[in-house]
Amino acid sequence: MSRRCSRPARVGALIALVLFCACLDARAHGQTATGKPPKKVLALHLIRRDSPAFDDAFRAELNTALSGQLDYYSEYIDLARLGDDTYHTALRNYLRERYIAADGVDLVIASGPSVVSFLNQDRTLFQSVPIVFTTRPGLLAEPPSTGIISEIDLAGTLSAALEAQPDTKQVFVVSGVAPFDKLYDDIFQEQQAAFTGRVAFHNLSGLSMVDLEQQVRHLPQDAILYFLSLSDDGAGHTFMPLDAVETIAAAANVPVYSWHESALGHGIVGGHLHSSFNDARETARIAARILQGESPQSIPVTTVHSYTYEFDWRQLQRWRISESSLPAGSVIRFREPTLLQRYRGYVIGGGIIVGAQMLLIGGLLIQHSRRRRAEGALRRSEARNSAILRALPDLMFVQDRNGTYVDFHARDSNLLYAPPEAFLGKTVRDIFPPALADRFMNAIEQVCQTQEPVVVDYELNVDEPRHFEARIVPAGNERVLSIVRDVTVATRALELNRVLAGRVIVSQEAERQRIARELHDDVSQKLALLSIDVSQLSRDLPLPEQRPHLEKFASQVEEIASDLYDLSHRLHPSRLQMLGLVESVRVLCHDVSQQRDLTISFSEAHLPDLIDPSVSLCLYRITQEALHNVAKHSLSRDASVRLERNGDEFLLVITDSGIGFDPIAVDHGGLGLASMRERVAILKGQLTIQAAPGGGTRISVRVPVTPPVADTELVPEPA
Amino acid sequence: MLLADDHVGLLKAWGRLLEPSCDVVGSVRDGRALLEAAIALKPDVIVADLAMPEMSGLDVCRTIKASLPQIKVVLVTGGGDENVARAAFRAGASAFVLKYAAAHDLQVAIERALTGDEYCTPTVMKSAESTR
Repeated sequence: MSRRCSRPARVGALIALVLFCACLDARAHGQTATGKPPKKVLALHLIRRDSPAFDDAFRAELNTALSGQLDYYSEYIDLARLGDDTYHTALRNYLRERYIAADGVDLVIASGPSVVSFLNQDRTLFQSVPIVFTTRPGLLAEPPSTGIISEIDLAGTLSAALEAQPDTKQVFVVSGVAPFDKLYDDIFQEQQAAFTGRVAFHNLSGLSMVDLEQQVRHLPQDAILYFLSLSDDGAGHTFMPLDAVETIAAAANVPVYSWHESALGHGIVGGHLHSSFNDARETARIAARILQGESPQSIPVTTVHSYTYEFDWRQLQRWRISESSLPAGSVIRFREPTLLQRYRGYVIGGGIIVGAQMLLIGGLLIQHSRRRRAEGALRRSEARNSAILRALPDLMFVQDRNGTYVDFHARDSNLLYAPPEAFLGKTVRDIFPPALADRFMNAIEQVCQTQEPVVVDYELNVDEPRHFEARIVPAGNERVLSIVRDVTVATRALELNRVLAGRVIVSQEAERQRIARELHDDVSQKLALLSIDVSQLSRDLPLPEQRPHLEKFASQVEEIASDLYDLSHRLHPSRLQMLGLVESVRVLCHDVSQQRDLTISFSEAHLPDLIDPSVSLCLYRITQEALHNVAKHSLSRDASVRLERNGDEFLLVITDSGIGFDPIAVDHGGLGLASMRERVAILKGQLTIQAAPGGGTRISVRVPVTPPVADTELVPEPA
Repeated sequence: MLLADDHVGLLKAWGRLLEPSCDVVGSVRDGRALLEAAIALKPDVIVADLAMPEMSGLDVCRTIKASLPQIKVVLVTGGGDENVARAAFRAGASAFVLKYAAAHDLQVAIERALTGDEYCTPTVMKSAESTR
C-alpha cells in the first residue's frame, strides 16, 4: 500500500509553506542580516512611465554601493507635459501620503530640472530629506541637497551636421509646444546665433503633426532637419518624443539630426548626443555617497558634460554621408555587419569545410598522382612480367589448397595436357591418374604447411611419353603456384649420359676383367708352368753347384707371378669370383682395417650363395670407394658395412662417424660419388647419401637382386 | 688323386710332378665335371684350381666336404693372398698352394692333407692358420 497524503492535509501544508515564505520575505524587506534597515530611496522622474528612464541605472549603481541594502521606489510624474498648480498640488499630496506619512524616505533623487522646480515649490514636502538632483544650469534644489548640472549643448549637433554635410544652406528646426519643448526651443534660439550667416534657420514649431509631416517631405536639397523636442504638437496632440522623431524622420526628404542619444536608432543621422544614462550614473554615485553617511553639503554640485558624437550607420548609408567627414572620435552605431561578419560562423565553418575539402582534394590529387605513378610502374612491371611470361617456356598454374585450378599461363596452349575449359575449376584428381594426383596433392599440402618449394618430377603421355618437372611454390592465401617445365629433352639427355657413363664403366670393367683374365689365365698359368719346369730342371741338374742359379731363377719367376697377381687383382677383383660377394667384402673390410688402421665392422644377412656378377661388382666397387673415402677424408677411426637382402633388393649401407661433408658441394666433384651413382644407375638402383658437415656419413645403396636388361635404346648407333 | 684345372698344360705338369708318388685317377677341366668325377671316383685327394669355369674351386670344395668329408681337397691358385687362403680353409680345404710354388709345395701339401694336417704356401700367408 502506498503512502499518499489526503487532499486537506496537502492544502494545509501548502498554506504553512506560503506563510513561512512570507515571513522570510518580510524579514528580508524589513531587516537585513546585519540588523540595519535598508536605505529607502525615492526617484522622481519628470517623464511618463512609458518614456525611457533610468531606474535601472539608479538601482544598479545604488545596489552595488549599498551591497544590496536598498529599498528603491520611483515615480514618473510627467512634469514635461503637466505643469498646472492643480496637478502639482495633487501630486504633492500623493507623495506626502505615500512616502512621508508612512515610514519616510532616506533620500530623494530629482531627475531633471522640472522635478527640481517642483520640489523647490514646497521644500517642506521632503523636509530635511537630502535631495540629489540632475538639473540644468541656473537651477538648484533647496538644501539639504546636491547633485549634478547637466550641460545643454544643442549647437554641438549643428556643427557636426554642417561638418558632415558642408553643402547645407538651410536648417529646419522641429519643436513642439509643450513647456519642455519650448524650453529646448529657447535654448536652441540662443545657441544658433553662432551659425547665423553660415546657414538659414526655419522654425517648424507649432505645426500639427500632419502638417509637419507634409512639410518635411518637400524640403530643399541643401537643407537638413534638426529635431529638438515634440511632446505636444500645434493641434494639441500629445506624443512620445521618440514616436514623433521616428514619424518625422520617416517622412523627411533630408537628413534629420537631434541632440539626445535616445533618438539614435529612430531615424536621425546622429549628432552631438546627450547621454542621460551618464547623468543618471553620476547622480546615483552621489546619492550612494550620501546614503553611506556623507552630508549633502560636503559634496559640491558638479557640472557634467555628457555628450558624445554618435551616428547611425544606416542613415549615413541612406544619405551617402562619408564616415570620414564626421567629427573625430565619432561612434558609429547600428553598423550592419558585413556578410563576413553576419555569417561569421557560417563563413568560418564553410571555410573550415572548404579548407578540409581542399586538403582532401589535395590529398586525393596527391594520392591520384601517386596512384598514377604506381599504376604506371605496375603497367611497366606487368608489361615486363608479361614479356617474361611470354618468353618463358614454362606452364604456370595457380591452385588452391584443394588442388583446384584457379588460373593458368601457357605460352602455347598446345603444351597443355588438357584444354583450359577442361581443367579450370577442377582439381588435379579430376585431371591426372590417381597415383600422380596423389603425388601432386601431397606436394601441395607440404608446400602449404612448410611454405617451402617442392619439386615433383613426373612422366605423362602427351602423344608420347614426356617428362615434366613441377616446381610448386607458395603463392599466399592458401594458394600455390605450380611452374611446370617440359624436361623431356633434358631428362633424355641425362638418361643418355647415364647410359653412356654406364657403358663407359661397364666397358672399362669388362676391359679390365679381360686383361685381368688374360693375365691370370694365360700369363699366370705360363709362369706357373715355367716355375714347375724350372724347379724340375733344378732338381734334375747333374751339377749341384748350378742349382742356386736355377733356384734364384725360380724365385724371380715367383716374384713376377706375385706382382702379376696384384696387378690382376687391382684391375679386377678376381676374388669376387673366387670368394663370392660376402667373402670379398669381408676381406675388403679386413684389408682396409689393416692397411689404414681403422676399425671396420661387417655384417650381412639373408644373402644368397649366388649373386649376379654385375650386382656383386657394383656393390663391391661402391664398398671399396666408400671405405677409401672413410680412410682418406672422414677422419673417422671406425666404420661399419652392412649387406643384406630385402625382398627383391640388396641393401648396402656404409656409415662412419667422421666429419661428414656437404653432399651438394661435392656431388659433382670428388669422392667418387659420381661413379657410385653411375654404377647404381646402371642397375636401376638407388643411392642415398646422408651427410652433413660434422655429422658423419651414411651411404645406402639399393639395387635389384636381378639386374635389368641393359637399356640400349638411348645409346646412339655407332657411326 | 683327382686333378682339376681349365689349363691343360698345368694339368699335365701336375701329373708329371705327382705320378712318381701318386695314382692320378682322373683330370677334369671345370668345377661341375670335378664334382661329378669326385662323386664317381671318390679319390683320397683332389687337387683343384680355385678359379674354374662352371663352378669355383671353393664351391666344389664346400659341396664335396659336405657330402664326402673323407676326401681331402688341395686348392691351387695362380694368385692369391691370405684372405683367399682363409676362405679356402673355411670352405674345408686341407691345403692352399700357389701355382708357381707347386713344384715343391704340391707334394708337401698332399702329404700333409693325407695325414690330416693343413698346408699353405708360406709366401701367401704367414699367419693364415692362426687367423682362421
